[in-house]
Amino acid sequence: MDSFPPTDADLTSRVSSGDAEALEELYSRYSKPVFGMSYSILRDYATAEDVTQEVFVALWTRADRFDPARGEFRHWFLHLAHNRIVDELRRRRRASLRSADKTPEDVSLGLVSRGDTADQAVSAVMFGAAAEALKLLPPEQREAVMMAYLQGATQREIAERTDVPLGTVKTRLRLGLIRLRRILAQPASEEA
Amino acid sequence: MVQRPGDPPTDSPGDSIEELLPAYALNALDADERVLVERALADSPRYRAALAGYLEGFAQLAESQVVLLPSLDLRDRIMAAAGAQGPARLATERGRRERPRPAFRGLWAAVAASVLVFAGLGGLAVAQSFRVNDLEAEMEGLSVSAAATQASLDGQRAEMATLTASAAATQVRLDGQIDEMATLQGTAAEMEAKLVSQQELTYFVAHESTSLTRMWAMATPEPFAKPARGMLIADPDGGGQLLMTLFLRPLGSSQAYQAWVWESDETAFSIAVFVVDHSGYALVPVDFPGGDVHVNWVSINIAPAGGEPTPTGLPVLAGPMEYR
Repeated sequence: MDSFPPTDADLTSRVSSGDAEALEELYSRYSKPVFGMSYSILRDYATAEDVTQEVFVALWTRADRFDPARGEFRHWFLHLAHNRIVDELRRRRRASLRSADKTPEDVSLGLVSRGDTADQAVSAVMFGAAAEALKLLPPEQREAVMMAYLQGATQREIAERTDVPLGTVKTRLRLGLIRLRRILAQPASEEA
Repeated sequence: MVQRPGDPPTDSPGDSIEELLPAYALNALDADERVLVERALADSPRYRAALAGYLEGFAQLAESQVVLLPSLDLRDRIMAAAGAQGPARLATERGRRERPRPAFRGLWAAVAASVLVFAGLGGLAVAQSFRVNDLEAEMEGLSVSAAATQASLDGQRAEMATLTASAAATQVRLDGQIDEMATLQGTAAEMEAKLVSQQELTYFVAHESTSLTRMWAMATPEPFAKPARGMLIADPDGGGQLLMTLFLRPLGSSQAYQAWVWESDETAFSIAVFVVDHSGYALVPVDFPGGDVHVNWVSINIAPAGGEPTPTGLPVLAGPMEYR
């Protein structure tokens, strides 16, 4: 029997059989985090909307690729959206490199390079619980997570830019994500 | 490494895969590493479980950030683009076409069965009439019976026509209610999104180091619901700045609002180009000029879409910069 309200997996199954009302419902559930990610990474309202549109149209045409046996829709879809947003960021970076004879460092859309600069980067582009949670991470973990999440840097690029071994970057990303999950899953007072 | 049920084949570098999962969750792998991880994930429930843990942290970060909302017509643009993409037709249309009608097929089947039953009874009666050798009397009886059957069928047809009309009226009412419900659901989702935004805004504003710069209407081009208001919320300790407006008249697609900070009467820096929703509301993160710029005034002007290099015309909102 169908559940009510329908689960994300139910809606995705309906989308894959061409049910536009199911797509609208998924838009209601996920447009805010997808657009929020898109805007905070791309920093341009119109481009953020365009990419959000591409992500939902991709869901419309490729919903059958989601396999509920392999994980939550929310994880799959937000990861897919972030991947598309980061692709757009990297495309813009390459275009900027071609057009202006710049080095990759010039066009890193540089918010972050070191320590306390990461604090300013968090404040500049993120608000609410996410910003508070990031500020609670140790600086080196915050720096690594911000460079990957907001700047589309690969772990190898993070290692090069921060001048630390690749293994250290892997550890910082792992610990950063685990700690973020713990902070964001509980009321602020507990973490404080 | 101990091989567990569901693990990939032993020639896979299992330890390395585990190390790559956090970066995979953040889309921070090179293409070759990404392919390697995706192959491993396809074969290993253990890796998928580990990845889910990292993706949960990533998803919570995405879901708890930023107060900015997309414009109200983005949903319509996406639905139009999806409709143009295929393979599906818009379900609102399809649903109406395919929505099951009341059970007239059952009624038709009952009528057909009645005809068959009556035809059977008719055949039996003819046989009986041969047996009693009273053909004329039976013929007369059959005529009466056929007339009664005809009357019964006519009655059923009339009843069916009434039911058809009633069902059509019900269908129309149902369609109207479904449309109304969809509108209400859209409004509720919009209100909920705004509420979350307001909660996050309140959390930011309530901080002790936050300063508020108020802006009031200077030259509203056309009257809107109420006099426009604006507010610049800033953390002087180097944190972020938010610009909020209320009751600014929504502009056409060729125009946008542009926010400026003024160092002097002649020197202004653009800090944001933005649009408002149908109620005149906007909540926009803004960038202040760097260096030693001391801001005295904040204003919002109407500009061509995309903004302009220097402000033109009278500001629609303005106010003196407040420093805590």
